[in-house]
Amino acid sequence: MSANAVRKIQDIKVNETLAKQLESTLTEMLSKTLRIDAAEIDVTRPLPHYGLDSIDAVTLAGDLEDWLNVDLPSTLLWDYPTVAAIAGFLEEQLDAMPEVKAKLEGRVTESKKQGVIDKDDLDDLDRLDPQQMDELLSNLIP
Amino acid sequence: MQTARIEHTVAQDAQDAQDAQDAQDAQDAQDAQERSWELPLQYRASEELERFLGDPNNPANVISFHNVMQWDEQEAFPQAAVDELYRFGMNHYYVPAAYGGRFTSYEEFQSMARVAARRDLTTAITYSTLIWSTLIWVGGNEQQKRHLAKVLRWTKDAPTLAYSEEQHGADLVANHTKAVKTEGGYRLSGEKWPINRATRSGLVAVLAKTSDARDSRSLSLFMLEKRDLDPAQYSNLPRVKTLGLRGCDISGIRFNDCLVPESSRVGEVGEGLELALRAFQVTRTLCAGLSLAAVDTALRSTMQFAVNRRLYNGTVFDIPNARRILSDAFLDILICDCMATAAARGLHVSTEQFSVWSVVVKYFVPVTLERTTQQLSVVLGARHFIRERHMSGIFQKMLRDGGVVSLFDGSTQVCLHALGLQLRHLLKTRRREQLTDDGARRTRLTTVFSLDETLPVFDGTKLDLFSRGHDDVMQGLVAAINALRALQGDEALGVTVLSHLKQMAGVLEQALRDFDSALEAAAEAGQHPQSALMFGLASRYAQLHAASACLQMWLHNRDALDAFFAGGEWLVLALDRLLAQPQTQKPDLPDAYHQRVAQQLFYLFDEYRLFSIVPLALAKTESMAMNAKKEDRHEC
Repeated sequence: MSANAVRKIQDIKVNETLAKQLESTLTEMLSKTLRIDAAEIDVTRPLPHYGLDSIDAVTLAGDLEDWLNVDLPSTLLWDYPTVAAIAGFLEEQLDAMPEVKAKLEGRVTESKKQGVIDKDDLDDLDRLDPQQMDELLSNLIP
Repeated sequence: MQTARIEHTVAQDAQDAQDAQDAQDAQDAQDAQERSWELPLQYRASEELERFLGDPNNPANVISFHNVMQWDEQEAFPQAAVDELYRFGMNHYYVPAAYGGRFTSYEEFQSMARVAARRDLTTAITYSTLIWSTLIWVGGNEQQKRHLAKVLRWTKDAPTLAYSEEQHGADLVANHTKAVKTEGGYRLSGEKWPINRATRSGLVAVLAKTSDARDSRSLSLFMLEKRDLDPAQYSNLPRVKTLGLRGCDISGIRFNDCLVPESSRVGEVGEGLELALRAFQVTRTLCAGLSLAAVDTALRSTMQFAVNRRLYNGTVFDIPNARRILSDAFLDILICDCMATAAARGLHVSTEQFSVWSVVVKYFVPVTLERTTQQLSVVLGARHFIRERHMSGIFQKMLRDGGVVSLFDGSTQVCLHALGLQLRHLLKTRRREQLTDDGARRTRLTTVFSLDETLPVFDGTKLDLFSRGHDDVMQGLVAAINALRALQGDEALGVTVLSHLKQMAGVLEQALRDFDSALEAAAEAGQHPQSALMFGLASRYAQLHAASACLQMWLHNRDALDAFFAGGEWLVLALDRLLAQPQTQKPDLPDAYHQRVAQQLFYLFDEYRLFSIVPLALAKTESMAMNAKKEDRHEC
């Protein structure tokens, strides 16, 4: 029961729009660079608030470039200083880069297929006791 | 000096024999030089400037050590020296040929700056604020470029760089100076300090906040002409007392709701920091020339003492330990020269990569050569501490003034941090591309390193804040090692030296592997980018970059430069000097290599030539030269 729920919840994580997926990947990268918990990053808050300086921001644009394998301006994060803004910019750019987009969307669509949550699964979740819930949550955090 | 006199008397007997030995040494060196080589064309302007400025040992010349020391003692601004550079027309070399100036390459420019700075760093660093015109060449509009070209060529109005503020140092985004939009322009308020040439400049490049946010787009750049401003709306701050550069106008400027025209803004609103960082890539690279100039004079001053001061049965230069310190200093110069010359040329060729090259050079060259000068002070002994007599006391001035180079334009720490952040990308790209034979990179490297190749016109629009993992010098290292392995000994290159070079190539490969795995381990462990370990790795990267620059400079110019350069003994020792670590397995290198380097050092000293891979001719006054030597002997 619990294994099934875990799978479904993991699927929810990836069952997102392209922009959401970009946002969560960006948040992960940032949390690594800034050494703060990903949960603490508000996607609408300017990055300098988290201590990201100008040069770090340039390096992070380089990481994004590597990840997407596309050329990006090195001042990308200066002009789009929040996670949501960067994701929005990238989503727009990806329209012009069909292969990259297809690759990313492929991942999204595939997870959508298996990621629909039905009522039974939610009932499963309702039946978990606090200890099982803790286990479940700790499994979700890599 | 009592002991010295006694030693002198004792040594008198041996003097004739020693003179004969000296003559023999000079003859040997001369023979070794016999193979003719031609000064690359781009160094002719430097020789011309040398001849124009004259021998700095001759007090009759304006920029003589005698005058320079007097100004320094009085903390006087070296106006006469600055005027002398204007009289030569040095200002025209700051203006690109496309705008009517004489600037053609950074290699030529850097060499000229070196020739000026070997006389006096105070003068050179004052004059060098003209380099802030780079901001306009890189980011200005057509009208601004034409106008600045006119100002630089036909007036003595020089720009100054007003970035730093007392409370914020290198943290430019934290600056307080504000530019508030008003009709027809901006209202500027705030204080910039400490600023070189703030009071005496005609133009001021100011970074000011055009938005209240504390982010990278909150700054804009303005190039102000003081003549356009209301004198009641700005004022200068008093001169600051400094350890070195005592004659420099290091002061500050305060803007008091100062109206500046819209047309003074360089680039778009919010583009200030980006422009500042891109222009720094040029100026940081050129800083190497100042350090090389300071150490040239420090070494020349030490040689003047070491060659003439007699004690026991010879001169200081004959004492093996002293000779080794001197020849090692010369090696440091050759290493830094290879790196700096490649970088000055690279600005034209691998422009996009200068977020890496510039900080590598700006970190490595000043720090290395400051240490070299410290070492030389050991040989010079008491004279390095005396502010007069031996060459007017120029050594201690070069020591003091030279120390500023690692501080300004992005300090050592700023450079290592910036480099550390890119190391991961550099490793990944080098790994990915090292097995592919990139023809374009090979062509770029040939242009960078072959001194007889014509450089393309510098295009500042290509300067980028991130190199995307590219550094041609390091990416070309494996190919360079392979090229070395394929070499056969010839007339200019002995088989023993070649075999030692090949062994050193193995050491270099191992050093690179060790570096790569240390970096990987640090990345996996999620090392903090400002940790001591990351700074250490950045420093090691710079050493490897230097080693690669030396090897490639040698490979590409064996036929173009002199016999000493082609002989390669210096390269074996240079690589050894750069790579040796306690655990390194390396060949035992013959003392003869060190002797060869010492011999060349003596030759260049004796012949009045620059301590350089391109030993251009320095100005000399025949009778003065003789007098200086005699005087020194008597002084001892």
